[in-house]
Amino acid sequence: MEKSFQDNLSWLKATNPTLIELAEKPIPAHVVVSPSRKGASTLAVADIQLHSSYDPVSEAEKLAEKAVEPIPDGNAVVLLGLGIGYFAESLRKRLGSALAIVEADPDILPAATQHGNLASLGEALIVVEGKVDRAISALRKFAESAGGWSKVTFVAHAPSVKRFPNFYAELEALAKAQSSSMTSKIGILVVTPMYGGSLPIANYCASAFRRLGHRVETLDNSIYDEARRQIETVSRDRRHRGMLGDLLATLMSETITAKALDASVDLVWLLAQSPMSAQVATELRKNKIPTAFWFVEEWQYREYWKDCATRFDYFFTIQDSGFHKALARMGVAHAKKLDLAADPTVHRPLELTPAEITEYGSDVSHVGAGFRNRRQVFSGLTGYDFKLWGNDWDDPGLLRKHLQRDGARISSADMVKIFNASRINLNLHSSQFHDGVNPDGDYVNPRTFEIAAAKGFQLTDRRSDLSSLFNRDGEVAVFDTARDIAPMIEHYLSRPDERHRIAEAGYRRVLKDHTYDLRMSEALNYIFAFEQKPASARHPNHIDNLKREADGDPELLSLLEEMQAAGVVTLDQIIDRIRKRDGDLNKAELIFLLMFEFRRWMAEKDLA
Amino acid sequence: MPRHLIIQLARFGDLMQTAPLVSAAVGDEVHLLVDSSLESAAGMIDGVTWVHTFDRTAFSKELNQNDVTHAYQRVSALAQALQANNFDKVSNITHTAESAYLTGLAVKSLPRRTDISVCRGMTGGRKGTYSAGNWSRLFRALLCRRELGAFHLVDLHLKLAGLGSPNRGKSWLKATSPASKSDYPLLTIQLGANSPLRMWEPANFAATARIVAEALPGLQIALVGSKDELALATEFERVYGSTVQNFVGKTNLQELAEVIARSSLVLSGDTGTIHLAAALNVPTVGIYLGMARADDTAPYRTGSVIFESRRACYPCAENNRCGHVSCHSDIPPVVVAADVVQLLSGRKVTPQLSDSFQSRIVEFDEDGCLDLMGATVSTQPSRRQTLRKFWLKEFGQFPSDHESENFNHSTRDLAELTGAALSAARRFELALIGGNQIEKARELLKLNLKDIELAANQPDESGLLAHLFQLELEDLPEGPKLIAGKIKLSLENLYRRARLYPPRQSIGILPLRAATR
Repeated sequence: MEKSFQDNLSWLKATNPTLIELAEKPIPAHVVVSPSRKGASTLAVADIQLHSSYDPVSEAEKLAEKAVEPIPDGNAVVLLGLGIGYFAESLRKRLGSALAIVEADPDILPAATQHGNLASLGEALIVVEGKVDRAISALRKFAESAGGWSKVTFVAHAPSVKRFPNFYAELEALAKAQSSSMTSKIGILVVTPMYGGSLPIANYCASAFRRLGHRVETLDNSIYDEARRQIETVSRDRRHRGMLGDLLATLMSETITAKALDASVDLVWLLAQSPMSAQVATELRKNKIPTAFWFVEEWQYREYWKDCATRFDYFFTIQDSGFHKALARMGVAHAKKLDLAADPTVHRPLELTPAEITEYGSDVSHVGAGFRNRRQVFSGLTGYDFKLWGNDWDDPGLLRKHLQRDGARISSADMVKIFNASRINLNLHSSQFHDGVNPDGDYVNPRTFEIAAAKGFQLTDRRSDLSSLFNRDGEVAVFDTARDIAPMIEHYLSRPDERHRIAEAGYRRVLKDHTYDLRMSEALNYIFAFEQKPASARHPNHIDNLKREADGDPELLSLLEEMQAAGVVTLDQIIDRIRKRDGDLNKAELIFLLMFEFRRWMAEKDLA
Repeated sequence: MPRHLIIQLARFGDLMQTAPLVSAAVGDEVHLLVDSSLESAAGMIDGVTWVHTFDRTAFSKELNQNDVTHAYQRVSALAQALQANNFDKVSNITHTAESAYLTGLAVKSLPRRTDISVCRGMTGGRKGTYSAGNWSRLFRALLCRRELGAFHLVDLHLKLAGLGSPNRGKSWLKATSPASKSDYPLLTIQLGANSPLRMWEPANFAATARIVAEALPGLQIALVGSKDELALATEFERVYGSTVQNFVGKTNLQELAEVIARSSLVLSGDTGTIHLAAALNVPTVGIYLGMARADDTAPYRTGSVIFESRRACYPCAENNRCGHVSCHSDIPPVVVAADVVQLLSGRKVTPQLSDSFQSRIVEFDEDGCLDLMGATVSTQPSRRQTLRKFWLKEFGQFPSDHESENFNHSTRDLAELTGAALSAARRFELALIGGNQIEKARELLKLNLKDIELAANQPDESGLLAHLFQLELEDLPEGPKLIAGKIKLSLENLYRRARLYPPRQSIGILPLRAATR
């Protein structure tokens, strides 16, 4: 057993490295492994026998024989349930295509690693995940390389499925829903706020959607920030300023409809503080374009959600429990918690120059605004090589000599350099109402993910959500009270290896679980589990619909095939495509060129 | 019997000017492709076997609504219907990119640039749009140099389509209803035109009509026009003061043709109605104002009288409108009325010339081309006549059967081409009076392609020649690599400068796809 265990671990390390830690855990008591009558191990969990107690190997062979029959040629397979791995092994032998295995119960993997023969599974992907949307996310790349969800066949390991019937049924249903709606990428309009902390997050969301292959339009409202400032100075009359501000908000809001309709998007994604009026929401709803709002604010302190939450079809939050109850009372049907994250293309380890290390480096640093609890706690750290970066530190008192750049706003690029250069990045979640650590703090701020993504070492305060996102002291060092900070700084300053180990683990964790790509994928999976079909899929100019109409016109079909990823296409996009093609023009192309020229002629004659 | 499709997607007046082409297409089974709004009007032309229609109103609606599917299907269905006719010849006389693509789509196999055996005029082929044939190229070169033109539009179209002269002295339209002409002369007046710049004021028409009516007792006056011109008719009636037959806004094109057929004379600006009258062989007197250029679009009928302003700015440049209508008062109603009376009395009129206006009369020269006879008599041919002779000789020496061979330059190199252009320039020089521009043209053509491009921008004949040379290069098929490279570079520069399309990495020797205009 020891040899196969080591082999299995080596295999996992090579193919599914994130599972190593779990695989090495001891088998819990309720997972019972015993020898079968034929000798091979068999497995039972909570009175459910997962394999034959007589001959589990032959059983798996017979089941696999039967299971592969209906699988279409070339389809990839997702096996629902791992068990000790006999069924997976038998399937692997019979399949020429890719295999992934989803197991809902993390307790199964140690048993399979110790008693199975995972090493025989070749390049199979193993996903151990109890949440459906996360499992779908983990399988996304697998499905993509298979050619989309429609090219994936689900095979059930019946006893495993029997244990978690809802989970597996939902997983399969969601994947199937995606095969009809998400295989062709959708159009998303990302609406940014004018300013503030959610502005960069909006841009991270847009980038993530793009990386996921979607067609993204951004409505950048930051261009109106100057106008907003001007309005603040245009009159001393508060009512006039208010009216002008409302007009500006109306302009931005109406632009959403114009842009969403013009670009034929399937979803409007807004960040906290992004403007959208009730009329615009109604208009978008009429056009069957769903809207989603990510409220990346503390609901108890920023209460504007009360005025707007019902306008949106989907309301994402960074806090749960009480907030969701309040939203439900208001009639918000689809609220979901979506944790913040990092963008590894921005927040990343850097090779800094010696000059940069001098400029941005210190033993201890903090990047953030001067909230009450931070002022109070940081005043006790003046004895350290402590650099304080960020704005809103008016009247810094004892902290004056630590405050960098006179309290100027720090750009994202500089922030990443600071995370890289600091020995200890001190992350104290803000509070205007508490001294020290907020005892009720729940959500985790963006900085937590961003520091980890930059492979920076961080000392962060305790948050109730933190333990589900990072392993305390394994992936991030945590203090419970302000009194713990100084001893922990001393501790970690003198232990660079420990700092690096934790930073490395935190970095790996972020890449695995906390990127904006994953969050946006999670959000889309949630949204399109409720939406029948993206609006664009119903659009007559959606490439699939055009292809359907083009039946029997091979020249047209071949042109449209090349534009499959475009979703909804415009005449201009088709003309662009035609210009990029080589060789002689064909009749289909000539017809589009005619359409284009006629439209131009109409525009010249002002007939459009 | 060869099947000949003529593509005419322009307005009613242009369609009426297509009637002489149909008349000249003796021995052809003539099909017309027109805008669907003109289907019945096209059906009036004698000798048309089939009228195909393109519903551009519906098409524009589909494009405005970004309804790619239905717009595509509309054109595709039309192309299939046209292809089913296996046309032996397709002549596009619309000169737009849209019609060019339809020309290419009308035949089963997309044409090559060098092949003009089937398609003539602007054509959409395997490499984009191009001018098929010398005459089409000349037309394009003249588009922005109309003052250098030598041919009436109908004559140019006849040449482009490879047709001889039409049968003159008879109506080119099918017989209208049998209602015979009355005992009294009927003067029909079209008041409106497609632009206020081209429109003589109703008071002028009314003053003319009053003088004519006084001179010819029993004269009947009819007004024709569209619903949009009702106010003009009201103004006419107010100034005229007597009863007229007011058909304004009351006739369709068929009924309008019936009114015109009954008329003894039609008085009008440069409108569809005056070309309808010419097609029906009804005498006309035209008041040509604004952008209307009688040399290009006078009624194509012997004896038609044209009045024009002699103001320096007449005719308005297409893109440089003067913003005033001073030329409208240059033509006195009394002189127009005098000619109308003469014609209605069956007498001849003579051209007139004053400081402010002139009148000219349509006649046809020995080559069958329309010429406007003015009051000045000279033993020397006019500049326009000289140029006409030149082009006829230049292009006429290659009968259509050999034209494709002439334009297949695959074995020529640039020197030969330049040589050909230079020898054309020398012939051009000999043909021109004075000829001082030709020295410049020769010098310019000797230089490289960039200079040819510069030369093409010259506002005189040397520019026209260089422009033609340039068009010839554009239509050059594959040739020696070096030459091709030079041409490509030159054309890319040209297009880049024209900001039409961005330069492309993978174009062939010509702008190919990028050259789609």
